[in-house]
Amino acid sequence: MAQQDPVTIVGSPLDAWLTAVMLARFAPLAGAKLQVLETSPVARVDDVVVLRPEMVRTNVSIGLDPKRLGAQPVQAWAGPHRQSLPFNSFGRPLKGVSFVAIWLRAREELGETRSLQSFVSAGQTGGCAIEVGRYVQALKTIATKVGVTPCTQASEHIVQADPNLTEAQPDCSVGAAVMTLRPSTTLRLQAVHKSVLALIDCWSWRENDRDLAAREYDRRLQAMQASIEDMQALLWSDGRTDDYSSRLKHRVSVWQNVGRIAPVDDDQFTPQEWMAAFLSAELVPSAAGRLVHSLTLAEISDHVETCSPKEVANV
Amino acid sequence: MSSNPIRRVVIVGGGTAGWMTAAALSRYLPKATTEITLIESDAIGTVGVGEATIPQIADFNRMLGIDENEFVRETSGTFKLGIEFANWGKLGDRYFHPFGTYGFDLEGTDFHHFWVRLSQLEQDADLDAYSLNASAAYSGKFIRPDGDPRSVLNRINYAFHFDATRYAAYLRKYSETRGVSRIEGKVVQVNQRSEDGFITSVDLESGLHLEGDLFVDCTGFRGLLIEGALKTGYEDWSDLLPMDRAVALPTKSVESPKPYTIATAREAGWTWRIPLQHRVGNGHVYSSRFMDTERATEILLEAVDGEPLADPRHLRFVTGRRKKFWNANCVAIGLSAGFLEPLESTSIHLIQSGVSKLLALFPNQEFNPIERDEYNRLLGVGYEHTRDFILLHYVATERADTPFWQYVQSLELPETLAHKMALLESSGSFFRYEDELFSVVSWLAVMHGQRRGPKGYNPVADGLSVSNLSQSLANMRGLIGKTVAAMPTHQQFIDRYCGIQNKRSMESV
Ligand SMILES: Cc1cc2nc3c(=O)[nH]c(=O)nc-3n(C[C@H](O)[C@H](O)[C@H](O)COP(=O)(O)OP(=O)(O)OC[C@H]3O[C@@H](n4cnc5c(N)ncnc54)[C@H](O)[C@@H]3O)c2cc1C
Repeated sequence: MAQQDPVTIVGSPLDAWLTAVMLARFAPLAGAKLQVLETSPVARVDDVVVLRPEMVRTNVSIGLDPKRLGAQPVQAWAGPHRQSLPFNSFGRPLKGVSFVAIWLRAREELGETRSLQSFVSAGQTGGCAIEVGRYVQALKTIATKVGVTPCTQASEHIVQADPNLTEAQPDCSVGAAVMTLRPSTTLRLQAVHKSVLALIDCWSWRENDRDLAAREYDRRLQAMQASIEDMQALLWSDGRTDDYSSRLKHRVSVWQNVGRIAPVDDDQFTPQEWMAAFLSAELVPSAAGRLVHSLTLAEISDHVETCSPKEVANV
Repeated sequence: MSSNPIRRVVIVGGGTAGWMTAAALSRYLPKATTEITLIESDAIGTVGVGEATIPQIADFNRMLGIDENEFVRETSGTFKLGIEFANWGKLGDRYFHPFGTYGFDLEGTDFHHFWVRLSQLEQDADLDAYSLNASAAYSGKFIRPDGDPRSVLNRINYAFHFDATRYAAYLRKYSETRGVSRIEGKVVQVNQRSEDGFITSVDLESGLHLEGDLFVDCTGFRGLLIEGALKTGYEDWSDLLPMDRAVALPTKSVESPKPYTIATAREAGWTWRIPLQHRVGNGHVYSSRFMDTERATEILLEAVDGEPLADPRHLRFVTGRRKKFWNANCVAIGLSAGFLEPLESTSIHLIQSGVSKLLALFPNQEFNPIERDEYNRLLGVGYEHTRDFILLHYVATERADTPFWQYVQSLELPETLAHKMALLESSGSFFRYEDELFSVVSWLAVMHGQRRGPKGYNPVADGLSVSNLSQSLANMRGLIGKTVAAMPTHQQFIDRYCGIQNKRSMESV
């Protein structure tokens, strides 16, 4: 790509302006001019979108502090059936035993009835909820400062953030244009954020490294896609497991049998988000690791109480 | 959930692996339900090497609730801030692989991208100046982090060097206090169930017959249970890492212990130097395809400084891993599970990783295959990532001065390693697999130290003006320099908190 050709970022206002500002701020693309071509909005201006903690950090780095825009701190994001997927961990471990194992044993042997989600540690997560209209407006303000404009001229170079554009021949795709996303603005923004970061990292301008950069970009996108697809399959499955990938099946079986989240490469979600998603799909471990038996029932009962949200909040 | 628990765990082998396993299991398994027995043979003895570690061992100590000063004192240990590599990229080269970090990240982006940009502008390539660990190591200084997340000092990261025999003895005391029974004797027979091969008992030379539900094979290279009895099979990696011999030699110390290990590349392998409080551990790892024992011993004798304290000890090994680490009701931990040369001091970590995963996936009498398969998967990935990182040292080099170095230059690399190297070299980009031990700091240290880039950097680094960039990095160097200047020397720190002379004076009280 010649360096002075404009690059057009095509997508919904939310996707496109976020992409443009991140590219302009982090990857000046060797002086190329960036312009945004807005397609139909995917969210209403008064909708509220949850930004994950890592996204908030990126926003702060691009000069947009969500707190200043009246964003509210949040502890979790929500799935389609009001599943609550927390950013903080559940309770605290005791003597090297995970809280989940303690909670499972308390459920089984002490008749604990509170859900695991009710033990999410209080305290700042870094995540926040923000109104879409304000967010897009703030992105546009920063865009002006960093030289991104609305689309004014035709250009050959396109970064596509809208999945519905079929006639365009993009130089590359980001966010929702990379994969089929369920209707969740949180997941959608996560996909934009992760793919643009990958793009910034991989967009090498040296001709001889182009192939390598493209391969790496694809690798990262595939990893992101696999992880988000697994989460979507869990949250939107309504109990059906036919959509589960083999990787997800493996994770489900480890969770059900051992009470652990099997680590996988490039996971986009934290173990507590997976646990919450599994539990909301009524996948409950039958065993929680034998370590928990190194604790007495009295220790378990005490610990569960000290981790109960009321107690933590009072401390 | 607690139904059908394992009642008898039998650990065969009392080297580092056996006693680390015994200590951790005795800490976590309920004594009322589970009895732990460890069998070791004085006649066979232990491998007697394995004296350098990586920082993750502190997690193991914490898991056991060990007092660090006591541990260092009892094992005649010293602190380790990293490894100095000599002659790896080219004869005469030297670089430091530090634990901890380089510089401070800027704009949410790894520090090294900014450093690459500045080094291209100003020809400033001294990466060590941005590492608190490297700077402290080369000044012979040491101190623990101060716990204040905002302070520079908190970025120091360390591991230990220790005397392997004393470490096993220390953990033995720990385990016995927590109810582990130790039996001295040689296992001569392993008895199995005919229907599924599960091990039911072992017989000792003395005639003792010991039954168990779960067996942990810590018998070292022999793999008496996992291979001798269960015929699990071994994946041989010596095509990639042709080292298969070592000669070890302890010597008297001739100076205060350095807070780092030294690994010097040689004609067909490399030598190590590990400074302890009471002696220095030395050794030469080499490939018998390219060098004979006499020459290897000669090189080692030339490399040591102090007077030898014993005769050179010769060891043989096959690099690779057991096809399954957990087979039937037997889990192999330590050398019985596999072997990777100690270039990055990873074996004890792999023991630790095996023990932690065994605890997390601890079976009951039903031996659910999911626990076993997940254990095998996770450990397998850990061995492979470690292998690739070790291999990196041999292939990211300009050396081709001997048949050995020519051979390693001709190797076909695993695809993932080749991709990682290409990325880091061309653009400073790095990806880390889930559960991967070594971070970008380690890969960068080795790649840069061995003249393999990075040549490019993340475009975010162009966001700072040159003067800003130059000033920021100068500030970082200044801060690190000042912090190191205020640290005590390594020897002073040991004398103050964990010197073996303190033990003697405590004993005489
Ligand atoms: C040259 C070299 C250098 C190394 N350097 C490092 C390093 O710097 N850092 C690092 O992390 N690792 C290093 N390692 C690896 C490290 O030494 C081992 O991982 C560690 O010592 C564990 O050994 P082990 O306990 O598995 O085996 P061993 O020490 O061999 O112990 C085996 C035990 O099994 C017992 N046994 C065997 N057969 C029987 C039987 N029939 N009956 C009863 N008991 C039996 C023995 O008596 C002994 O107690 C090095 C290895 C080598 C070869």
